[in-house]
Amino acid sequence: MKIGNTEVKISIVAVAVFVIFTIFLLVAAFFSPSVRSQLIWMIPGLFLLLVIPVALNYMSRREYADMAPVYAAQAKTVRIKLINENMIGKPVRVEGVVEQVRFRFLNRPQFVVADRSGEIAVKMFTSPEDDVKVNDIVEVLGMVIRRYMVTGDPVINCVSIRKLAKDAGPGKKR
Amino acid sequence: MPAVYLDLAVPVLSFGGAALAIFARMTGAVIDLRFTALGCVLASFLLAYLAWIRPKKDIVALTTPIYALIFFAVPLDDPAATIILELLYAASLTILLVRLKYRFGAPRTVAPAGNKPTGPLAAYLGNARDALHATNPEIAHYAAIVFLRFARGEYREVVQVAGAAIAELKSIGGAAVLGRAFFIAQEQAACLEYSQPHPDHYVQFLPEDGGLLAKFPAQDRPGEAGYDLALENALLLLLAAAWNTSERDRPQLLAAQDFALRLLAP
Repeated sequence: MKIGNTEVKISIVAVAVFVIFTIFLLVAAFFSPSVRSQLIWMIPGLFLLLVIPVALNYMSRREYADMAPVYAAQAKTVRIKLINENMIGKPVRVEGVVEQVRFRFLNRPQFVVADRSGEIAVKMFTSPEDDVKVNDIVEVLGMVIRRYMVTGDPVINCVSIRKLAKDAGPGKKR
Repeated sequence: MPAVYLDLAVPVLSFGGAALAIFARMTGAVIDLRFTALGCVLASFLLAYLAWIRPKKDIVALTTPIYALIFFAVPLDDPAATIILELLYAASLTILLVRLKYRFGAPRTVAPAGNKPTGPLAAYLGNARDALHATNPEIAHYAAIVFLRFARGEYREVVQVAGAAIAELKSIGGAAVLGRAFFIAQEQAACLEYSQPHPDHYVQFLPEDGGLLAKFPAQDRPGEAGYDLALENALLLLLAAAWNTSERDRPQLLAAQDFALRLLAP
């Protein structure tokens, strides 16, 4: 779904919540006349369960799209092995192969990306623009942060993750 | 007063007041809960002070005294609710303190006194001591700066400092292997600074350097693997020179130990 130029995705969890509460409302309305009299505000409230997640996703995708060029200008392309806790707060760019994808269904995907020197976790707090899968060769743009915000090993807080053409593999000359 | 005591005083005061209120309630003592809430209020002012003395100001921590006065100026009718409010507020202050230290505090560069490198890193530094103990102190300091700046991803500075070190080595003389290490660090830092792919021909160590290198000689690894290995060996060699000769840089080098261990890993 597109709103303007921004691709918007709604997570399956939000859809499931909407479906469950719709069923609750239908059952309640069927059995209780007092509920039927309140449908005038309950039905719009029900649709807010979809509208609000979509709006939040749109806002976060727009913000990340605005941040990506800023990061692209500042980030250095580094090998994953060189990323360490002394680089916390630095923007970086890495290229590698996606080895794992988790929590895609929450619109908060976490990837494990590997290049020739090592692997690193990549966390994204919104849905990515590309549909990134395991074994995709990707370019990751983001900031080095601690895994648990104040503690833990260094990971990348991803602003942009995009698939590269198959011949532009990680570490290869362009 | 050392900063660590001030940091500890925030949770101690805030949770201490709540603990006193809980104790009073359990023992049936009659106490005005505004006295126990004073712990949270004082902790808020202390947190605001800790935020104020930092170069980067945290507006959230600075405004906590306002919230403390709003929440606790007039006690709630229910003592249990007051105690719960004190506990939640104390937890919030503690979280804000952690946030203040790690987002607004100075970066950690001083290692705890008495710590030394351990494991394979310590073994490598010890093995390199005899060959590098005669390194000029100024060169050793340059080596420390190059290593630390590389760890922080400050590649432009690495290029500049390595260039200065190479010039210094040419004028005063010194171990040629160190010169090669500085060249490798400078070359690869320049590639990283401008996000360039690795060149077809790059500076490498010579076969006679093998005894001082931490990992397999670069000549045995062609292409990208050799390029990466050259940098790892160069940085580790610079670390060894700095550690064994420049004692003033040891605390900062120790703080970057995890970077050295990553380089040393296969």
